[in-house]
Amino acid sequence: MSESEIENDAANPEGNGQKSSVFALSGRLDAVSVPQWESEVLALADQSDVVLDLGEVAYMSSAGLRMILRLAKRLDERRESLRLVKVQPPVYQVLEMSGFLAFLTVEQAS
Amino acid sequence: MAMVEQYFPWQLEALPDVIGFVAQRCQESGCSERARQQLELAIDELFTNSVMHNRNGVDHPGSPASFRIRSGLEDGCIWFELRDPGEAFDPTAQPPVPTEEGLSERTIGGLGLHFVRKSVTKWRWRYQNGCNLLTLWKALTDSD
Repeated sequence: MSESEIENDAANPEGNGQKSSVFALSGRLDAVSVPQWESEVLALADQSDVVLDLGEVAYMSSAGLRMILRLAKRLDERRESLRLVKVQPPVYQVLEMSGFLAFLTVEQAS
Repeated sequence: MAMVEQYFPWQLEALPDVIGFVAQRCQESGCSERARQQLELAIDELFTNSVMHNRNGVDHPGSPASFRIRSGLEDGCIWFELRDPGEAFDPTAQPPVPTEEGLSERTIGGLGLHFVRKSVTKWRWRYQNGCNLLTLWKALTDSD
């Protein structure tokens, strides 16, 4: 269901050689699907320079945002970063409405 | 587009079918893609809230209660009426949540109704015959 891996981060434009934890989610992130992802996503709170690849996520409700906020808070407590990459327009609009763009690093899909 | 009504199990597992119904009605109405996305988000949030919070004490073992959705067109808007037989809860009267706070101040939860407010042209709640009745209107040409 998920693709969780630790790899050299090809999405890291600085190319500083730091290892990133890249996790790809897919489908719709709503109250039905989020419980299936949550334990894997929140386990990333122990990693460094976490990247969530949302390229295959077509939809996100507040249930998905809650999961991301929990992860972001736990990483922030350890001074670790979180980036959302390949974010599709409908998901970006939800992030925008929520005000999350003010404190999350978000890269839109090209 | 004629008025249509459909009943769904009042359970979270019915969410994909609820959203499928909303998407189909939006397609039939000819509303914009953006309007469809916003209505799907709004009704997702309201259905989920209803199942998670309004059901207290009204479960019927062996006979799950139904969630009814009606939909039609009126004055350039597509409308949806959501009915659940739960405890009275007026989402339109809830205070707005702050969305300007930083990460450390942000509380988890409360964004669902914020999305509804941002997504619909207008909404109205009433409690009638032991049921919450919430009606949403969305202008067909709405792209914001």
